[in-house]
Amino acid sequence: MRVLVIEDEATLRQELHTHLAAAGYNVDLAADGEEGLYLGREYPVDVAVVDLGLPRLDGLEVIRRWRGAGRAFPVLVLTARGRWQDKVEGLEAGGDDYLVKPFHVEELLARLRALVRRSAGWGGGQMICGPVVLDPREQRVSRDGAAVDLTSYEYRVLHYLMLHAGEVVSKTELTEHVYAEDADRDSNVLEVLIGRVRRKLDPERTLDPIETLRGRGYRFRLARAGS
Amino acid sequence: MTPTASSRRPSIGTRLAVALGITLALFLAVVALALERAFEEESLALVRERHEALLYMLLAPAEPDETGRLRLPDDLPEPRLSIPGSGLYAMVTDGAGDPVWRSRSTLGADAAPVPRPAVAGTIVFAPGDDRIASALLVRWEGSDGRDTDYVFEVQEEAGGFDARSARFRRHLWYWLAGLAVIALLVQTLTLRWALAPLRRVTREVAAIEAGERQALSTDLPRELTPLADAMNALIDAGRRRIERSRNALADLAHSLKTPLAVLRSSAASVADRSLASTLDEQVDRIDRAVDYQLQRAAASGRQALSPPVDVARVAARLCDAMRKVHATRGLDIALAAPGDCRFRADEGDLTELVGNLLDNACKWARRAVRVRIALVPPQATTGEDAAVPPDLVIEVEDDGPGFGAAPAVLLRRGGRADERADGQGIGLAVVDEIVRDLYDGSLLLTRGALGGALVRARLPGTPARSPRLDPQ
Repeated sequence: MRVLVIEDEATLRQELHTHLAAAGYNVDLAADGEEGLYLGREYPVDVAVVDLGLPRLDGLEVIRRWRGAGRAFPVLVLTARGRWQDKVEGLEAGGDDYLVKPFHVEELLARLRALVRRSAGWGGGQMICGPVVLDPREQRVSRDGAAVDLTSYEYRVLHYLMLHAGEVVSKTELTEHVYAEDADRDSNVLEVLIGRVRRKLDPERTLDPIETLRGRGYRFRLARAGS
Repeated sequence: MTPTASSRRPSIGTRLAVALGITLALFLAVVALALERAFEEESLALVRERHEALLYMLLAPAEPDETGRLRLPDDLPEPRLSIPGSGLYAMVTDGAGDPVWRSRSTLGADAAPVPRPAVAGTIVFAPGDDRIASALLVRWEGSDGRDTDYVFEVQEEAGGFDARSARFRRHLWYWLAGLAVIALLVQTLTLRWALAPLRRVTREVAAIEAGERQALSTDLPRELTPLADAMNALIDAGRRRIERSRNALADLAHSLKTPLAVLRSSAASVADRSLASTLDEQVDRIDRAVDYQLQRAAASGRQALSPPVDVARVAARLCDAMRKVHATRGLDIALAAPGDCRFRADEGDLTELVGNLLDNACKWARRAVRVRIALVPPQATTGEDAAVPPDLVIEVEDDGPGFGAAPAVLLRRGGRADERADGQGIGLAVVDEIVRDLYDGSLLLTRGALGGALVRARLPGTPARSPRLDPQ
């Protein structure tokens, strides 16, 4: 998952980076509105955290311009004041949820997870596709009730594919959302990762949850349940 | 202006009309009296001149006959003296008062006694009620050298004179009445014209209150320009002050909350769990105190000349926002409000009020949240009085667990607000502050028809403390 954080306070920005990275996100950071606007417009962002009081370009304006440019990723608005007018304006500008500073990190992570799931058409709680259950809160995966042990990158790949279950996800898209910007983008690495996820999730090869569409990408083919 | 105020203080228009009306009436009465007096004096002077001429006319042909008695010709140049009962009489009496000669007109008419002049050659003029008389004393030297006194008299019936006076008076009063009507008309138009700028200012103030104008226009008469300028400055200063203080609060919030966010975020990574939890608790306390005080400070209360706010629109925006935030919970948030729901209050205050109530309701609701907004006649008045603005009633209800036993505790205010247990948070305290302290309203926490919490806030349309201006 790729999260964009626009926050002008350097310490808080770094704190957010640390916590979000620990929670398995690829984090893009921006210190002002202009930079944030650019990153959100040019990068494949899954979810954004936008502080309203930003230098150079107001947070509301950043969100408005993203929406104007057709960028539909969910946005969590951070506001210093608990004023309802600020919250309403943030949501009306195109924000999807708000959080008042100072927030608990767990709360922020929970809101982000909910937003990502919601934007992909998932309901709350666990993500269930056939016998495969993914708990984004705990970052745990199970099949038929038995836990499946995945590495961080394997989990990210599966999470992204399940989030978009039924849809075709290109290799480029998957790479961009799973790896940090500066990571090695060799497509072989991704193929190896997919292969490992397939083996761990479906050792007997009876389920075949991830299909390869030659030249187009991958698709998680098990139907969603309870969405 | 309220009805009581208008009965206590007459309007400027009434004052001017009354003063000018009284002046006009006095002026016309004095003019009428003066003219009447002048006319009467002038008329009498004319009569007197005519009498003098008549007397000399009688005197000219008078000659003593051979017996020494004074003789006058029967035919005189004044025909009225020859016609009996013509109303003009002449006679001559001797020194003893015995008549020497009478004009023919005296036939059948009584002669009234006339005061005799004391000095020869002088004329006595005696305007009486019935007759106007003049008498001339003549000392005649006879051929025997003895002097004989004769009194020449002219008398005139006063009726003709009175009739002329009456006619004049009637005409005079007709004219003056006509003049009064014209003057009143002119006065009304003048008042209207002179007071037009004041009426315009009143209209503009109403327009500012209605949110249709930002300031008073300044192309006014010289007397009103300083007032309009001062008003504009006041309105502007008020708006600026609120905006500046709100901006200052926003800055303060930002500069306080961001470090708190850093602290809290860092606390999450502290290895020592007891230290982390202490840090977290303290951050919580600071946060709640700051939050409560900031929200209190941001609430401005009703401002004079603030335009009415569309409460339904405010509530609709908040409902939309809450639907978006709670999208995955499938909450049924319904708003019921009348079409025209404008109420004189600060938009920020109303947003905080409804927002906090709605947030609580959404937090606790299982499936349904109901928001009802209504404008109702004030409690104090009876019947439909269009002049009294209605009260605003806001109800927010949910189907959650409700308030439990003692909702009053939730409203306890003061310095301990920051130490209140989480849950209802500072939201209700802020609502309470806005409703009861800033708007003199009432707040009721109870159990609603849905089985959950129901909060009813009632804001009076006109609190006694903040006077409002009305167009008329």
